[in-house]
Amino acid sequence: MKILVCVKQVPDTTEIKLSSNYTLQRDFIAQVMNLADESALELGLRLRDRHGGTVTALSMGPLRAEGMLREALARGADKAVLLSDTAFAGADTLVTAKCLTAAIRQLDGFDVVLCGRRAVDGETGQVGPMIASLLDIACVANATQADSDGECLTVCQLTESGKRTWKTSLPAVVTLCEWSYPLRLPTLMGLKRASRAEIPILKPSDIGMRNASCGLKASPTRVIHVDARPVGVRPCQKLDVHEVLSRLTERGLLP
Amino acid sequence: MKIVVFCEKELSAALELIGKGRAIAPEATICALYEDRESCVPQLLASGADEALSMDRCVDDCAQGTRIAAALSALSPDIVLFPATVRGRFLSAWAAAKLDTGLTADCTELSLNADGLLLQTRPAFGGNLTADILCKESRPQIASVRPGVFARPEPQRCTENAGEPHSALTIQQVLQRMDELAFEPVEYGISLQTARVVVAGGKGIGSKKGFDKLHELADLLGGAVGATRSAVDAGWIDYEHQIGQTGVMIRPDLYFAFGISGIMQHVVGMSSAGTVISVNTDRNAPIFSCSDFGIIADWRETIDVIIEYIKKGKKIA
Repeated sequence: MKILVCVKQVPDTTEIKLSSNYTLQRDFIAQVMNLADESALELGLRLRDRHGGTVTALSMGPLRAEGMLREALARGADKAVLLSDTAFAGADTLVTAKCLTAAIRQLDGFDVVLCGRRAVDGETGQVGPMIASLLDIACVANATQADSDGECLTVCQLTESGKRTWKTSLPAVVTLCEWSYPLRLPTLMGLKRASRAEIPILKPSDIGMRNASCGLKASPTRVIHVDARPVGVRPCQKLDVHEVLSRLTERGLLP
Repeated sequence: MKIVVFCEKELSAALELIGKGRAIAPEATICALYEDRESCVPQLLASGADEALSMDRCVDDCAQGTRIAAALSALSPDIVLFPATVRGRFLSAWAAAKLDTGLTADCTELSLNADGLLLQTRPAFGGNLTADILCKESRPQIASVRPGVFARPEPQRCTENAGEPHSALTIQQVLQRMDELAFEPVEYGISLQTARVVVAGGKGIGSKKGFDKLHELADLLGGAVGATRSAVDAGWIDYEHQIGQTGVMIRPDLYFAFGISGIMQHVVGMSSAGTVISVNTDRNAPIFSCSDFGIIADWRETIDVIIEYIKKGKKIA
């Protein structure tokens, strides 16, 4: 089974804090593998362990994302590929999906493509389904579990109203929820292999794309303004619990 | 200007979107695109849609996404709005890729700019920043919005006089590659989305057991329990309880925040609450600046006092 896992390096949001003037404290934000992508990687490794084949980790991002791909190798991925070039920068979700799709085609296709269901920085959750749409193959988003008999995938999907189980043909794209498959630790062997591994760094021409079709310029959506508008700020009275309770009763909010 | 609103079986989000579409573009033609069920038509029209268009639904969401793209090609609207539910987000992404156009997910505000383009505002960076986004050239401009973000419009028009503003679209079937094997509905009890009182906990709750205390208070008040993403990620409570940018958006009358620091990703989900009471030992916790009442104390001791108070109040009553 040929498995591809899309991974993204993101800022560690648990470290993001607002300054008193509501601006983002950008200093010293660590870069980590997106949490949902860890689930995707672990599922890929489990499918390979059960059915044989290979796991390739694919990422698009700045050169420093190579560190995250080495980590994926240390944890068991067989290969890693990085799309990195100034021409890729600033892509919106559609263009990101187009670039990843071009790379997937260039790498000769896969039986299963796994992604995180969303990245913690953008939180759009669009790239996985867009890749499937561009490849015109089956896709289940928001999955918590997936298994294969080698020919089909059985996927459990989390929705607002319950858990739905799908059976899909292969090839297929599955996007995984954050807590579904905790990623295994790196092994000593894995760390050794990862440190020696060659990670190809591809530019647009390597995946059959023109520079003009990549990045910000080719993106249909454009951020025109970013604001640190304070959301939900109210005047707060800091009081003792008993005082608060009697105020709420006065307002008819509590019995 | 033509706006298409995609309507899911659970109508409330679509009604909110129809209301918003009408508010930002009073002169626009608003088409409500729904799957099967004729019974929803009066509600769609009463909420401000000019016409209701139906298409049949196939089980495979990928195939349906391709068919929705075909329907949108035929209708050629300027703007398409989807509810940002699991299925709505999926279908919007699938259709946007097929139509080779832009999509902005999880908008928290929509308006038209001076050029008549859809100005899409969404939280970025875990809700710490707000980004304004335009899709200048590609069409349609597609946005998704979570249920509960916009207010539901008051039913207006008398639909009986509206003639026959609903029709069925004939969309070609496409190859289906997926089949539904099983569906296991989740019983949520009192829905977080509609609860008048929400008792929420964050990282400070510290354990699964801690949330039992929150349930006790919620039950006493006939409310629902909510949580922050860090509490959900820690496995103390299920995802269905998550409030915020990646969870549910709520507008209860009364909101209790226990052990919640108040990062923006959470605050965007509860900022429409009527009265907010937060309890935290950290006097500098950002949640206090988003609260009407702040209690600087240990959440366990405080919740016990509140539970006692309500039990007493109930007895007297």
